Amino acid sequence: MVLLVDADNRTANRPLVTDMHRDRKRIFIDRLGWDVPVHGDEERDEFDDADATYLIVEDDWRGHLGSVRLLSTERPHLLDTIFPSLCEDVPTGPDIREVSRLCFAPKCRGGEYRHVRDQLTTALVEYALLTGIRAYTLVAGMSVYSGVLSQGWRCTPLGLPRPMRGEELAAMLIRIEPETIERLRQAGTYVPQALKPVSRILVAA
Amino acid sequence: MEPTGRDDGLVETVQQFVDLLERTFTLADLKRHLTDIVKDMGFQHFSMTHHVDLRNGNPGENVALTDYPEEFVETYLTNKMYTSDPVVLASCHKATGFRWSELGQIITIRGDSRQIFDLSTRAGLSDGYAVPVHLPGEANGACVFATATGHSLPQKRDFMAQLVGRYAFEGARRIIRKRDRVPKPGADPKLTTRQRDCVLLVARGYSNNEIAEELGIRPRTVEDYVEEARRRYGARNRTHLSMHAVFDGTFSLNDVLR
Repeated sequence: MVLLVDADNRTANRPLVTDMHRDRKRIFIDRLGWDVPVHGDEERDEFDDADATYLIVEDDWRGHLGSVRLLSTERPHLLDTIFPSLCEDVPTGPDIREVSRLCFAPKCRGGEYRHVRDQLTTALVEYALLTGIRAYTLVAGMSVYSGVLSQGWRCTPLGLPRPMRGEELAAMLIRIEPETIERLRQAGTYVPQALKPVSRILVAA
Repeated sequence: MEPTGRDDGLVETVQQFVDLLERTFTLADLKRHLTDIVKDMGFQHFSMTHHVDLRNGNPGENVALTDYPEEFVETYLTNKMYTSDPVVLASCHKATGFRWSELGQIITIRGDSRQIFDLSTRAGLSDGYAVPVHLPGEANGACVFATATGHSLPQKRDFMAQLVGRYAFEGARRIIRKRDRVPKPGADPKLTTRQRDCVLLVARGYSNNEIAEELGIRPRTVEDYVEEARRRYGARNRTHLSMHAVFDGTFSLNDVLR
């Protein structure tokens, strides 16, 4: 199940959030060698603030299996702050969120990774449809870029890839439309009931 | 590298191509659109494939689309030259795009690659840029853009080619999926997490006792998990079961052999 974690329930889910930050350090710093801030055994940066929202795949026994961070595009976020060269006109607005820190826990084994990925994809779409988000922006290296395209949703390039920080990075826009769920279904990436129902999503919508 | 302001409309061209892909429902149309944008980029040919054995002429769920000269394709497939094709081999080692001239930096060029170079030259393919596409649960693939003899590799089109290759590959996957109505795994995982753990170890050559030890469960439980997994796939034995699980992407060959 994918849990929505934001300012309202972050404290209640402290162990899970900590687990996520630890896995992010293991992946982004230890494995991928990203030059991002580290605090002890946790990776977190200036965007991991009170307004950041997370979708976290949680396993009852093993904790954090994978996650993404969602940032408002009306406040400083990666694309307009760190990677403005990847896109000429950064798409912003109340109905656009930026997806970043897509992370799969090192404890994911074998094909489990794919199931976690599909749960995150489905949760991103469900969350967007429930709250009126029309698009996500995303900066990705080239192999992740192809992986995102293969999920079945409708993507558009926002700019050409650029060599930055030792990889080729590019920005894209993922459009969320009523038919997106059906597109995921056809791509085989839809996971029924991925997003754990939280009443306040419905209130917000 | 100068960061902004000199894209010369390249992004818009790719965006239009991506929009066009949304309205493309046959491989013939995709081939036509690709041929057009390939020329726009300054290349003359393209080849887009999953790296699997394509000789039987029925790639099924796999992508195989090219406008390379017929002579090349015929000889290439008949002689299984993909097994020694340095572009294919290098694609498996790279996440990002590369020029043919960089092949020697990525892999050791084997002696039997010579015949590929000869064949390419005879077929009038002089140079190229390859965009590897690696998706979990699928064979590795690539979209390759080639120049014809007498043309030089277009300047400053590598990044555009990266995007065109990746979106085109996805477009091909989508068309093939619809055409074949292939039920994809993933929406409905065939095995439970525990069954998958066991089958992965089966594929790695573990006995039930060894699996039990590795996972900290009883051998009898392992036996149940493996038997249930075998039943779900309708597999004949442990080998057949492992092959099924790799084939539908429950885990990859890399998971088994690492």
